[in-house]
Amino acid sequence: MPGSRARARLAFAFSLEPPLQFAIETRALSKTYKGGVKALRGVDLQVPAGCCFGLLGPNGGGKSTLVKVLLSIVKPSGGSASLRGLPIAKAEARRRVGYLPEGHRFPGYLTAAGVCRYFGALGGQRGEALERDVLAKLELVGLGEWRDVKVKEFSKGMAQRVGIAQSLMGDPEVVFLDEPTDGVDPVARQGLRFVIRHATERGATVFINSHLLSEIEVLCDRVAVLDKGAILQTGTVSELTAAATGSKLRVHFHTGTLPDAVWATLNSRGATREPDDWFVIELEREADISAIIDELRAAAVLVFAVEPRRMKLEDAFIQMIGADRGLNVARGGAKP
Amino acid sequence: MSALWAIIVDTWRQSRQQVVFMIMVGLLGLSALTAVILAQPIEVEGEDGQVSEHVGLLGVEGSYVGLEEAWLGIYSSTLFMQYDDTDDRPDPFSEDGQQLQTDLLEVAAEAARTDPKRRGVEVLLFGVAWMVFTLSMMLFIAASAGYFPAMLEAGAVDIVLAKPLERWKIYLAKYLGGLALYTVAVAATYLLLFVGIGLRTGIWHPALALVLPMQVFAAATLFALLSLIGVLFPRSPTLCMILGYVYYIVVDGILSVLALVPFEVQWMQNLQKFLRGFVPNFGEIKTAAIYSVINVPAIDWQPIGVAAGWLLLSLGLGYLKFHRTDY
Repeated sequence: MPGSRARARLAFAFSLEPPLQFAIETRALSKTYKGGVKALRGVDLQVPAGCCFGLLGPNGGGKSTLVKVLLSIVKPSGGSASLRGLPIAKAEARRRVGYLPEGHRFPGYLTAAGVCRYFGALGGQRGEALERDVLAKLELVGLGEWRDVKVKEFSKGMAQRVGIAQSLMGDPEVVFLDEPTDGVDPVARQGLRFVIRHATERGATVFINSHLLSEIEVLCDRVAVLDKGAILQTGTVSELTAAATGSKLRVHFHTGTLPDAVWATLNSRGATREPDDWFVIELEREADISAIIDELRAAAVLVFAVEPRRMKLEDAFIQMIGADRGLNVARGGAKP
Repeated sequence: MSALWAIIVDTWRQSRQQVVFMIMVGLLGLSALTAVILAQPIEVEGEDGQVSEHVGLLGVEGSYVGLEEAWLGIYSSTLFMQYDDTDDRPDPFSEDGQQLQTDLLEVAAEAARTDPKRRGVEVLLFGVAWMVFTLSMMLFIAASAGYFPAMLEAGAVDIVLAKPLERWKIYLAKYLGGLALYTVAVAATYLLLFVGIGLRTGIWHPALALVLPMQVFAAATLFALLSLIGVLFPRSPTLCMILGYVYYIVVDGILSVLALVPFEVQWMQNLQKFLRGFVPNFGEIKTAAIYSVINVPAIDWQPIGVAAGWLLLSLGLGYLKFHRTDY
């Protein structure tokens, strides 16, 4: 909906305050828990206002701690951070900020509407506006008909949707979603994408922590990889995959039987076999694809399919993290 | 204000789910209703043939006599409350002693002036106030021990802390929410008692409301301590409840008894003084509260001062722990 994005920009243009460049900014942010566990080690991060930002990382990498520090649920040990341009220590920084924690537990005595009403009221909403927003947000996540049912009756996926609804109460400027697709079925996941796009289109900054990299790849404008409490990489999805693969192009060929001599030549240039007569090779330029085809044709090899493939975020992530974990993962491109 | 109110209201919703809280409300209401039913207005014809009105207990013949005699004892004992023990009472020939004698004579005159029906009602209300105080405090420990642990449960506290509220406001709102529930439950009980007894006997006794401030103060002190325990041990509401009972019944009971023992040894006497100056004595606060039904006693401010100190200390330490903890 380009119209609503334009309206959001227009609203910024006419507001008295200059538009915020970064919704979230951290400098050398660190957190050491009691017992000496270093959860964050000097995190420098800038999240542009109005973007959908994905934070990736393995379990225990520090993702949830980073969000909790930004929301003052956990106190930082060092460094500084700002939320909506305000220091995170100020309660005002958390005004118009939504949060869906991982493994949330809503009081069983509350209904779906009760959860939204309670957290909306804690955020400063009241009266008719609050009631209207409760219904609107429950409708948005597809729980309008379930508003008077107690959350203890809900499945995990439904409770997760209630969590998303409450995080959107008051149309927050910044929304933190920690593992939002946890327990959500594929259909509801599709709905979640719509909800997140809806939020970003009205100008909100959405910050997602997720293990599901395919979701991040589809939704997020920018991503960062956090491991062992430090940021390994930041950028767009294509920048991250390019960093993992380098500038090389990964091309998959489906051919007829390859004579040994032809395969020896290809293998010497880094080609690797895949099942069902496929092989994959990394090339410097697209023009090199034609050269390979010519060579194969010259050797009377049938070429059934040629597929240049961009590396997926998941592959790039595993290459970044996996190598540090001692996993048997080949690095696909340029050295980091 | 809206956000704080939301926390207070949420505490109410939370309580409605608790069997113990509902049992407390039910028992308090039952106590009041029982008293209303038991209060039996009767007419007694004297030897001179004159008919006088009294209040006795339903089904207990002659009980009005016991009630009226008890009134005299309770009324006069309020005069002695300012003395720790009999040794502290002034020499009857001193100026203070003379004053005490005058006051005691005044009690007899007051008894003669007061309508016997009113005296019976006041003693009945005194008894019910004692029961309401005891029941409510005992059950409030069980009901409120879970308020803070439930709020601090992992996955529940995160969203609350992520709201634009300072932590002191969250802590205070939860504390006031719990205390407000107790106050409403107890006030409603006394109101029911006041109206019920008034309608049944024709005696309206607004002094019953004087019990409330001291009773709420005692509950506030105890709940501040339970809040502190709840923040220190958020994973175990049962432990909070047990520690609350240990403190209220065992520690307070032992100290109350210790304070009464007439020790001969100097260091034991010093220990007594220290304990009186350091540990809140809920027994004395309760006495000061319920005697107000009949006559506002000369209040000993020491236990109230000590309890107020504990209230502030518990609230302060509880908040400090809540403020400094990572959730």
